[in-house]
Amino acid sequence: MPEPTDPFSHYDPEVPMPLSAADIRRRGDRLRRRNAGLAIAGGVAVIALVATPLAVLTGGDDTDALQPVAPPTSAVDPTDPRPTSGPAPSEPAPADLVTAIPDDFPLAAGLPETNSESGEPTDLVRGGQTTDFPLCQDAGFDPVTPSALTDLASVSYLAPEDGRQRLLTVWEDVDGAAAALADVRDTLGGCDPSGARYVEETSSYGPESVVFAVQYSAFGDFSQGDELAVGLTIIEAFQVRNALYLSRYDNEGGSDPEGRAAGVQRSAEQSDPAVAAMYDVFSGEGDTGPSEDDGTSTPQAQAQAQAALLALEDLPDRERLGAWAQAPDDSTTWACGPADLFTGLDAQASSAVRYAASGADDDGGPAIARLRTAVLQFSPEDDNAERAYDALQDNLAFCAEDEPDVEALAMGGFLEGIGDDASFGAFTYAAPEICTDCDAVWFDRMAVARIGDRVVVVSYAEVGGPLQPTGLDPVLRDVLSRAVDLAGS
Amino acid sequence: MNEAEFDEFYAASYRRLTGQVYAMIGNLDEAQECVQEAFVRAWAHRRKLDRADHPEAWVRVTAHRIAVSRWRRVTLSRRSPDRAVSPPTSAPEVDETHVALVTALRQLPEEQRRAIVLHHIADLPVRAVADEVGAPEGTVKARLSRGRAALATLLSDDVLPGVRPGRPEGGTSHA
Repeated sequence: MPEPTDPFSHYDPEVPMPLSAADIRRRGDRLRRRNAGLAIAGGVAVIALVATPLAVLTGGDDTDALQPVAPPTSAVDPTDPRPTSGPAPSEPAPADLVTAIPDDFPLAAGLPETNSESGEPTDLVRGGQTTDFPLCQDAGFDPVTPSALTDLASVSYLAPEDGRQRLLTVWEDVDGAAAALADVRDTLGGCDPSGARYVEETSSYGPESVVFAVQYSAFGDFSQGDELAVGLTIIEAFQVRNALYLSRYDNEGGSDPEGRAAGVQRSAEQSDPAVAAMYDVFSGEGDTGPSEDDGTSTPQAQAQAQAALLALEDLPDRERLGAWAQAPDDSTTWACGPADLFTGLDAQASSAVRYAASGADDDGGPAIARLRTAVLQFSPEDDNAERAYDALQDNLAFCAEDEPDVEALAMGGFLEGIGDDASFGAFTYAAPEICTDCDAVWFDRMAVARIGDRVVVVSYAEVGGPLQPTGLDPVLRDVLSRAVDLAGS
Repeated sequence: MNEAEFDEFYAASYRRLTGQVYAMIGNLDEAQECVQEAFVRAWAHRRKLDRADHPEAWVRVTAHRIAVSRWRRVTLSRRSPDRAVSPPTSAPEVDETHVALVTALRQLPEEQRRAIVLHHIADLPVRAVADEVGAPEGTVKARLSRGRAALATLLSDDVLPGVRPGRPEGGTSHA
């Protein structure tokens, strides 16, 4: 019997070289330009990390500390409708921008006709101040924007256990409204008063929106648990070009995630007429906003993507971790890759959620585990889901190259038996929020999977150092499998 | 890695890598395209390549991943594979010996096949094979041992092409 190594010793098949090295380089340059376009299409975002030399990191690259790039702003009085005296916008505003609120704008749609207590009609009121709309406790909406406010209208309804307030602001240009939206997100995300908890919820309106649920404790804090939360406020902010709509809905419930989700849903239903009108008035020609419900329209696709997200009960039960809780959706917590990871992928809709957990013996302490997941919905009429999967897989393979403080532990690999395609990467980066003079490191597994016309992304990370926590690979596999099951159902 | 260094790297390793990937996946045309695509990505991400301990391994792993991904897509969707890199080429006649080897390799489980190719064709030591496939050395040794035993049966003169080990045909005996 011939030795099995015999054929190997002479194995040298004749292989032609169809493409020259120059051809290869040209294609590579095109690929690099395409990937660079994906990375910057949504604006500049830099992850700020301070490197700590750690034995567990592979390679010997020196690292640089990166500082976040802050957008330019000027302190302009947003309530002053006069032209801004600050820096001019970088581009002239499109001529079709609508800068005034029509008299018949249905801002009060869905509200009772009169206030329950005062008997006053619930009519649209022009003028006033943005600060009349409370965001963080009693502190009013007071954004810093690069361009001036051109119009403002509000409406309010007050009844026992039922308060609703809406504010519509129109800005000189899109940058102004975008800056105002960012201010809402930052203010609510950083609001941490005693006796109340501000939790970012998944918005069904897409990326140019934000939704927060506010719980109030009966005892002044939440040490007794969520079940003693009394009252629930839902705050929404939604942007269409240069217009920003805010809604505040004070009601009951909210002691559990299901209650909060129901409150978010109620608030969205009540805001729907005003949201539809924003598209009609401010979106410009050719953009008719959400189409009729035919199963493929953006809001429908958005709702489907949201419904397919992992919920708390889907998260791993790890002995070293305390209870999981939903956390503000921080775009920097993808393991690797640009903040606008999904820009340019041509998804019909996308939805994301983030969870975090403290240590089992450190309730309320800093999070030592976090999970972020997103579902992207694509049209069944084209192959955009496959292209998106390829692009995200490429990101996993190469993203660490562009981020000096993120180290790829391995090239990753395929995950068999999950969806139609699945692959993952493993990364580490410093955890300065834990400590700056120790070996704390995030060990992050990030995976992408395609199931039919949906793509699922999961980033699961735990703090360790210098050793990696055990069991991360099976945890990622289980979480991704569950996420794919939900997306495929 | 500058242009000249990349061109030299490409010229020196393309054929060798294509032969290795061909042995892994059993299709020379597909292997050529996947290796070319891997080199395209290598140039696009050449800083990553500069930092890799073994650039050739980096390209080979990438090519193998591309091949598996394309195979899955074809299998699941029953569509033709994406010929984005270059139009289909007609591969030259391959030596009959190579055909027998590649045919036999295709009958092995993918993990055994890959270990065999990396160790016996790419001449990687067991530790390097373990690093590349992401498995412990003991596991790699087991795969090599089982793979070699299966190949010995498949390549023996007594076994007809296409007959799987353990199912002799017509009373044929083999070692």
